[in-house]
Amino acid sequence: MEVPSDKISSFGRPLITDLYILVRTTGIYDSMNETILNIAGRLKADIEPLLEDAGEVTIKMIEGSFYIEGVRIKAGISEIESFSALAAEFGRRAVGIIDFREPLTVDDLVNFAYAIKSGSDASDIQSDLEGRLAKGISIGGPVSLQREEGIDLTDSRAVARRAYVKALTAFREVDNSLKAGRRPKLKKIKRALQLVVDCVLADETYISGFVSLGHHENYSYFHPVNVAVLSVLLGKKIGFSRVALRTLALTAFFHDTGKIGIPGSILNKKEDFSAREMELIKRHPLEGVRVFLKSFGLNDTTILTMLVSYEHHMKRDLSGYPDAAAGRSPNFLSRIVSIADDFDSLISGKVYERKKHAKDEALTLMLSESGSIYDPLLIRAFAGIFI
Amino acid sequence: MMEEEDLKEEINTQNLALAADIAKTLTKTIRTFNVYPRDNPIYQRFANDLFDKFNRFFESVDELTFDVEQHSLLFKGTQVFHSEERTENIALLLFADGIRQISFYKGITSEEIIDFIDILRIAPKAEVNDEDDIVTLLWEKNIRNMGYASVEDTVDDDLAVEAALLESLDQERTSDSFMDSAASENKSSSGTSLPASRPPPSMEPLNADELILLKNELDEALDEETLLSSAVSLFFELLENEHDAESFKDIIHHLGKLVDRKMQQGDVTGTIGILAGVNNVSERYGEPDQRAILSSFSSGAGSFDKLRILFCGTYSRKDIRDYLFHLGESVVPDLIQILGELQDRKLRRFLCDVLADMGRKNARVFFESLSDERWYLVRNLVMILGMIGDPAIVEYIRTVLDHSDPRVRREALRALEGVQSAETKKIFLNALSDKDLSVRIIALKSLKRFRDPEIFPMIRKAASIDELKKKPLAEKKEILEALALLGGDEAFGVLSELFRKRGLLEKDEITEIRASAAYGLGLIASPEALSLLEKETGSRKTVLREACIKALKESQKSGSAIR
Repeated sequence: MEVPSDKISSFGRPLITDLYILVRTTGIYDSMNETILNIAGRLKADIEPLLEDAGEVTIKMIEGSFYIEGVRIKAGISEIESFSALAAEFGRRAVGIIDFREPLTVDDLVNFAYAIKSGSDASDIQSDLEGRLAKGISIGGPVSLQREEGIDLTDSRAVARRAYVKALTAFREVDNSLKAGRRPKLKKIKRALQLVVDCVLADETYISGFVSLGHHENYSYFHPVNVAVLSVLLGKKIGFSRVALRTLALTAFFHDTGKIGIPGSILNKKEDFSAREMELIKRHPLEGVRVFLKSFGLNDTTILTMLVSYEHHMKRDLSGYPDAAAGRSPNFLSRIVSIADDFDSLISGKVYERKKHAKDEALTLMLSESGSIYDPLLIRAFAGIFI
Repeated sequence: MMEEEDLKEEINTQNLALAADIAKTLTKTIRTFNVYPRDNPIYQRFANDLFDKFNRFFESVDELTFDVEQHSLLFKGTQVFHSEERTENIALLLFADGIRQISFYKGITSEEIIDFIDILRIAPKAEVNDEDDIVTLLWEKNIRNMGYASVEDTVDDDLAVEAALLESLDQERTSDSFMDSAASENKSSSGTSLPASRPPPSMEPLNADELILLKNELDEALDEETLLSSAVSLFFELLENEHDAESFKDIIHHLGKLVDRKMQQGDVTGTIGILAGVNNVSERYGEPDQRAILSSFSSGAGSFDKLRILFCGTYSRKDIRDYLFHLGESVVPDLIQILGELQDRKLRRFLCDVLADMGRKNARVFFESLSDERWYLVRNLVMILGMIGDPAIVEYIRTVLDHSDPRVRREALRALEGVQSAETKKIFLNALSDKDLSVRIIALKSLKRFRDPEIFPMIRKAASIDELKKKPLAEKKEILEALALLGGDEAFGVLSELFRKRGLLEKDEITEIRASAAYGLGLIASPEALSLLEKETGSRKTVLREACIKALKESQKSGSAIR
């Protein structure tokens, strides 16, 4: 079981700060001093909630920044000094990784702090720890960051992969946050989707390739990202601006947010849904709006996102769901996302007899519904992506 | 070592100094822009100064790139800026949002520099909302002559995504484009394949006109006004079927936010639509919790600031009235405050009319404010109570009858004119001894309207020669007119006696009494009374002569004597 990222964020700051205080204090007191033991106790209390989830927590220090389980711990203004000082200390000792494992004791932490202070490098410190029988902690050497600079920006496939993976990662964070009842950070999602938009604008070949895989397994994981990519592809085709594409991507990314409360056993069910399950599924557009109402403020982007969440199953002839009053017309972005959503569902085998449709089959099926279910111009433009 | 020295040698000393100056000035400019508005000369001076510095730098090179560290900016590996300040520190701002390199290119415009500074200023605020940071804002602005390199919040994305998923990405045919793979499936699949040579009619590419149609649809979809209207419709659509208390609360809360947005845009009509919608909905949501939520919505929509905006002079009276009526009585206290602040007389009068209508069912809402220190506000409130005209207002108006300002006392009597009761009769009679003439006159005028013979003896007391002598002409006239209207035949006796009065002393006072009696006789208009008046139409005393002529004219106009 992994540790939720929002939990890491909230426990991470005091953890790094107390870790710094402990290491610094070893220069003042001996290992049996009460102050040292108190600080180590506090640090243990910081780590334990994270250990509860996975039994093991990894802290990495990379280029001056701390990451716990891959989540960067951002220092608040008051913590900048302690974060920097601890990073410098780790840098001097060539330490990049610290693994905390259950059962972690206060003695382990005290031993670790003194080992850090006296060791010359990671292996030296690790040996020292082993000598002191500190079993709850292990140390690793410097880690280099895999990031943008690490990617050859002329390698379109690598860039596309990075964008796609960032979007998947962003979805995981959204999923975690919403399930924990916390508000996801829109800026992180925007940053991920900006990469998708840039990628589509620069060279859509590879990122569309990832979508075309039609993921049946882990569908709920890939689907929001795929719908975002497909929507951006369609948006590009009909001349959306860069910023409008990001907005479109965001609305598409969140279109199924209302499924957050539906058990995976139903969502991933291979057989047909029961009437009760279907009723639950049909409520997800409304539930999506509810999540947004609760989690986000009201601005143009969130309004659009709520509209898309509510309307993406509301077909052009209003034959879908939720029920709509005659004459109501779904928002333009909802009509785009609806096409992308159905297409990904078809190629992933989530609808129409749960058969994984080939792209041309899916397109043919959808084109046959032009004007009734789909906006005729948009479905034509969508088909145009594949020509 | 040699390489380092070579590198140092390469660095143009002049550019290093300029780069350092630009970095320093950038931070100073953030500070300045935070303080001064865009049209301020100091703002302009800083903007121009920074632009000049960039131009000087680009005289010899085409690109200025800073590496970003937590507290420093480096130019070609040399630290050119260092600050450990926690606010308005360009290095820290960039570093905190993951930017590790920032570049400016030759050709950068002053506007682009200002855009960049604005982003640095906005980002820390956006950070609070978790919606934007410097990277998202730079991306959105897409400054042509700037570039940046950033790191993301996750170390290695492989950690974040299950290895199995990544494997599937890597192992499958990701080198095939979406289009290629679709095309290849066209060839291989049977039955449903799309014709390879020519696309079917439904797959014809969109023509220019069709693209324009879609572009217009997009513009409309993103238009702020359309969006807000769509949100309003969506929320009311949700409310139609919403039974969950929490969601009900969230929707109403967001409708409140929409009211804020619409009011910021000056869209009072749109806001009225929301208020009307919520009022309709409120009929269906009668649970105490729901009532409390709806009441909190009304409080928000009727906040003092919003009400103030209504009276800024731009909105139609109809819109203001509609807006206020949807909010109901709860906003009356704030409206009273606004009434106390309004300078525009006509607007004040309008607000009084509105308040009178709003308070018609519960005049008590004005009661507390009657003790306000501002006499003019109290006068307006008394006037409003008078407009309401309900007998219940007597209780409230009674509290200002001894107000220190005669204008308030005067208004109080006017307000009571419409309520004829024993209680108000007593109030008017008491007011006959008010120290202010205008108050006494209004009291007399009001008493006249009672046409109540019981009042006659009380007025009679004030109509003695000695009492009348003390009064100004206007009051004498009112007293004697009141006698005429209330006393009938008995009054004729008193008035004719006064009319005939002669005296060697205090001739002017006597003449005034006679002139005042003339007005009373004119009101009686009996042949005897008129005859008396006729006799004095040639009087040498102007006041008396004119009074008689006027009284006769009035009696002809009214046509009949008082009976």
